[in-house]
Amino acid sequence: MTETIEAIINWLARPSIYVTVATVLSFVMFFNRVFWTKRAGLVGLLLVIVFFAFSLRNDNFRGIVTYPDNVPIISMLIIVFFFTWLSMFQAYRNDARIQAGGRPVEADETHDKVFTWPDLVYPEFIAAILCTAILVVWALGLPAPLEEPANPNVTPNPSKAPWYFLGLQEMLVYYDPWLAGVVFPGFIIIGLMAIPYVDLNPKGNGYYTFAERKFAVSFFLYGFIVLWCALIILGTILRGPNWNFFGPYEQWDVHKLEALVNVNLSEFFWVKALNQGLPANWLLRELPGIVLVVAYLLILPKLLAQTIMKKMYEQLGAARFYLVAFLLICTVALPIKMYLRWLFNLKYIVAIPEFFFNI
Amino acid sequence: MKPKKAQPDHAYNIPRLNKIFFWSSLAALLSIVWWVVDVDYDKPWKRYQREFRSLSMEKVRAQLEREQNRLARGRRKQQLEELHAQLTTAQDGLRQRRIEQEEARARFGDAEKRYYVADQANRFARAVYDAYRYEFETLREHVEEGHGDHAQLEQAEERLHELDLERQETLVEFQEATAERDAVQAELAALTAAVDEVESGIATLEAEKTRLEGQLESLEGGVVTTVRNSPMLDFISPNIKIQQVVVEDLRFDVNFQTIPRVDRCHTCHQGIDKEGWEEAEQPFRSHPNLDLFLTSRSPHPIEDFGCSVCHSGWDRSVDFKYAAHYPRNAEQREEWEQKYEWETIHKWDHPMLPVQYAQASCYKCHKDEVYLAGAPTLNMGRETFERVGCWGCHKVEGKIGPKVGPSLRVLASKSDRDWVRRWVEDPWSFRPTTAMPRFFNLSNTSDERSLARNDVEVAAITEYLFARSERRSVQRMPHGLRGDALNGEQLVNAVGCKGCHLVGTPEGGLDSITTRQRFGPNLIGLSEKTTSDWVYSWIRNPKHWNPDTRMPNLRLSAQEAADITTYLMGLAPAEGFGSEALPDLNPQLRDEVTLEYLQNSMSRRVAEETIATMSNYDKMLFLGEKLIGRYGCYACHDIPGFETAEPIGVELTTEGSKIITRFDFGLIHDVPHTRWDWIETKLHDPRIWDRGKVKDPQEKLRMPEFNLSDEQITAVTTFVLSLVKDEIPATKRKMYDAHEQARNEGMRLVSNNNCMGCHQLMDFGGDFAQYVEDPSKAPPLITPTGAKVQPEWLIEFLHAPTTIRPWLEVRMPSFHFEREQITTLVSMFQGISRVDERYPFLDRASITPASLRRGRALFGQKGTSNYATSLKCNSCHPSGNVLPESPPTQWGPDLNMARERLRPEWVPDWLRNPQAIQPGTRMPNFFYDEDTPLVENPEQDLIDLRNFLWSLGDSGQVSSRR
Repeated sequence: MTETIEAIINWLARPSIYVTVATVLSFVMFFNRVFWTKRAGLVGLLLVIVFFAFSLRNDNFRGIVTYPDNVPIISMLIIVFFFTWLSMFQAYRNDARIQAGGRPVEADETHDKVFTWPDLVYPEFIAAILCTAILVVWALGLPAPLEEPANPNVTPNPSKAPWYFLGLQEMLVYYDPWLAGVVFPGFIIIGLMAIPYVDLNPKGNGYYTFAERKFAVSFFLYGFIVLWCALIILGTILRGPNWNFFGPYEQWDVHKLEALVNVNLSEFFWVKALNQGLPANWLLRELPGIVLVVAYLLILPKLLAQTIMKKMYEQLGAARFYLVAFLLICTVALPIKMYLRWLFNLKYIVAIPEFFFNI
Repeated sequence: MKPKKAQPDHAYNIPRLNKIFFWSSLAALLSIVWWVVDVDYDKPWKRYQREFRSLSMEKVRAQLEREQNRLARGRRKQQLEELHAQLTTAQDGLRQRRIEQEEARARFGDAEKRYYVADQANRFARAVYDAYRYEFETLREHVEEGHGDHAQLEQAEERLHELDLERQETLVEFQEATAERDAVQAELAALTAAVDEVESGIATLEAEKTRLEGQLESLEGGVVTTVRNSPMLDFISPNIKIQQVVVEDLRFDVNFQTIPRVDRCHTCHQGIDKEGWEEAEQPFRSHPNLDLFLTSRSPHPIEDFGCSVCHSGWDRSVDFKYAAHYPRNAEQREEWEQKYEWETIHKWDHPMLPVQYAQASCYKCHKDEVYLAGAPTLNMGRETFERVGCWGCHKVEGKIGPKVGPSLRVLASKSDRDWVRRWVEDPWSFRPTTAMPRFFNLSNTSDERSLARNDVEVAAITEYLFARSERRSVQRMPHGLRGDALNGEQLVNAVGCKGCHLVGTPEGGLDSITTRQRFGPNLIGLSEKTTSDWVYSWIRNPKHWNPDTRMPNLRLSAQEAADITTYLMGLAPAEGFGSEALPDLNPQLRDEVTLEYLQNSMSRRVAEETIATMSNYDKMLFLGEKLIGRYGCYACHDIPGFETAEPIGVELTTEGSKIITRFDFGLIHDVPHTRWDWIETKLHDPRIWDRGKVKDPQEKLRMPEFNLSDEQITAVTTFVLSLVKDEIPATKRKMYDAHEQARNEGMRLVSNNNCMGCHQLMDFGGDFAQYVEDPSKAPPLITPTGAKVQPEWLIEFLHAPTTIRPWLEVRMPSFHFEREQITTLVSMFQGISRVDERYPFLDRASITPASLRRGRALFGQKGTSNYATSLKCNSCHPSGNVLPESPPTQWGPDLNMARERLRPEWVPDWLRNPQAIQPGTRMPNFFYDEDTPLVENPEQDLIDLRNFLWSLGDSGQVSSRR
């Protein structure tokens, strides 16, 4: 029985299924109120407790989550899910009130003014004291020892980035560093900076709402929850020695080998489809990939503007819309490449080793 | 969200916040108390120091009590009482002169005041003068260079002169004040002299008590110490603190850079460099060898060497786990896991050597000492490593020497194919003690397919060896010579064969014998292996068959050789050898293996074409050559066709520093990941890392299995661990003087020729002694040789040994040393004895007739009048034609040899105490019993007797009768 459940969870944790489930589940949840009630919150909490109670029996899982370095990651993840629930709970509550013709909760409880002392400083002071106590207890209870000096001959396997970069590190598996390490993180920052300029929707200022900002909230949460936090979980729990995938209950065996022979798009096109050798000229060779990428970046936004996102195009105007659309398709480029890798062993869409340009 | 019960005008309920504030402050306070008192104050090393302190106090208290008891009893009690009585009298006397004393004391006060003032005035005057002198000098230089004013210079000179006068005046005043003070002080002292004397008498008597009291006081400390060591304050200046030795020049290699050692071991191991803690529980126990380590009297004081240079471990850590302690065995591991939550740490490349391997660290500084005193495991490891030929396959810098196995160039003249096949396949079934390792049917080659393949491989190797070896004619035993097995057995036991060879398996198994006793092959089973003619011819002259052999020539007569041959040919091999018929060669498998090896250098198609053109014999030769190359047989044996082949094994020069991740533990999970566990496991089963793996035959591990006892395996592991890349600076390395260098060089030769299989040299070897009942029949101790014999004589002797001790049955063989080797050996003996090659020549002409006469009288010549009172030297020692009456087995060396053989200064040393130089000798003590003289004027007698010995010999030209 236990083994069957473990096998099922291990199977679910295979990256393709894991990411698919995370994506589908998050969208289903965003758009369904039943998930954001107090009862659902309690059920969720219960599920988390049951999952941990069940999983901590497993040596491997326990080893990962109780490793002092990982404890903050695990607690942070739980906290993130709690606050996501909290915000969505409040958002749906406000939506219901607004739909019934009322005002958001926040509008009711706004004071005009309060005193700096004690209303502001006192709670802050208490928070500081509590933080001190918690940090001291934590440091003594889960000591981070001054270990022996680092040894360049004994590097950790797997070598993992700090937890907050595990999502980026996962991205590096699918894209070259110039993209995964420079361009995409740059887009994240640019995207966040652009929000005030592209967001013309005046609703939701000062209160939580989902119904009035469906695209904005679900796009952001997808990026944050699935493409950032879920990938941190994946990087923490599911990536083992040699950066291989391991189920949460699977022994981290250094010797495990995976048959990974990756193929470029050009090989799919020329060798498999057209049944001929690769052209000697790199431009010709990579033409299918280049066409595909250009089409994805230039034609897709245009198509979107004319079809499913027509309304938004009209609201935002061309400049704002194309910026949003560009950021959106860049975001989606990551899961697309992930699926291509998992399902077809696709290495690069465009691979020009002649001048180190790979996509 | 607005909290419930918020007060008007406030966002929060303030009294409730107060409560929260109280509880959270309390939580913070408690967490900090926990931190400071429980975690910081109670660190294990602090606990150990407190514990050691209280143990020390107990010890000192007990000593103090003993001392007090001692003072309160017997003679000391009486002395003390007397002294106290004297003290009372003296004090009474002093009391009567109280006025005088008080007056003197007042004068002393005045004098001291004057002294103080004068001293300060003088110091100021001197300082002012010195400062002005500098100014004056600079000014003068300035003026002389043409700048400045001459008048100013003159003025300055005058000022300097004034200051000088002032300086001298104050000096005079100071000297006078000193004298006055000293005088008054002497006056005072004279008054109290009687009291002082008695008091110092008491102090002397109670010195030990006072010392112990002081020690106790400093251990107990007081309020100040308690405050210094209390929680939270103990960061300022505690006396419970980390103790460390920084060894700047012995460095740790932490990859890409080295760092000095900072050894903090004695932070917890408080008793390690102190005597008196031998029985204490760890971590307080004294080092087991304080004469050699840690103390200032030892050659390795702790301040210069620290601990980690020998023991390894993480020097800087004061935590049990992070110090990289390593358990010696599974029980200790378990104990530590429970007691200290011990586990291995992974990033430190130098875990502490378990105690059984600790001697490995000696080698990095003492590389040149072939036998290192105090390191028996290392010595055994090195000896075994060399003897079983590890370095034939595994290159080790600085280790070169003759191949350890016999040459196979004349194999065809010696043995037959069937025997060789059986032997190669399983040498131990023929001789369980052989040094030849097993290559076949081991843990990774014992499945059915491998067994069949092994037969093919063995047959191919045999075929190659016979095809390439020479068939030389054997010198036959002379016709009519008939050997006597019984006599042969006696000879084998007596003449010294057993110094190097075993005969049969020893009762106690391999553990009961030394590597030296397995130096040559076990002598059983020769009839299976070869012919009696070959054995006869070999023992008569081993060098004929193999010029490089280390088998010496025992100068056996034809009859003796025949006897020994007959005896040896009668010794059966181990039981069961050769009982199974040799399997027929599987031609299909042979072709498969041949094809496989052909494909190493050509494509499959070409290989198939090639094999079609090969005859069966060609295939076997081809395969034999490839397999000898694969298994590296040529590392130990001289094999035609492999003269320039490179060794096949991993170089071991720095194996002891190899990082642990470079060791392949395969799929074996129950072997701890340490260098020593890997090496030990590998030596027990060299193919173990193949277990559970799927490998092609040629990928399999190929190191053979050696026939070693557990003790030897630990010793070899120790030796391999000793091969590290640490660079030891000249300041710390053992630097050898000329004598020690000569000794080290010679010892290498001694080790290579197994001299110590028979002779004891220093504290090593002499294994042959166990075969004789009477210790005087053992081969002589050769440690004192350098001091004892003349170098010219020794050269002659090593070149062609002659009989010196007629009572010995064991013979010194002829090694046919080369000239340089003999010189090396002679220098070695002189180095061991720390003597020069020059020695004071005793000119016979300089011996006075009187001395000679007295010597003769001591010596005692039969027929002379004083024979009865003489030492009767001739009753044991022959001298020329004068023979003792006892049988030759009871004799001592011929005294006529003395003048040619012995160093004149050595003879008196020997006669003073023969047992000290050669324990077990039958030579009695005539002159001293220990240090007590047995005769009236022993030193004179010694010289006279020696002088007389020098008159013996070739001519007797010098005699007292002249």
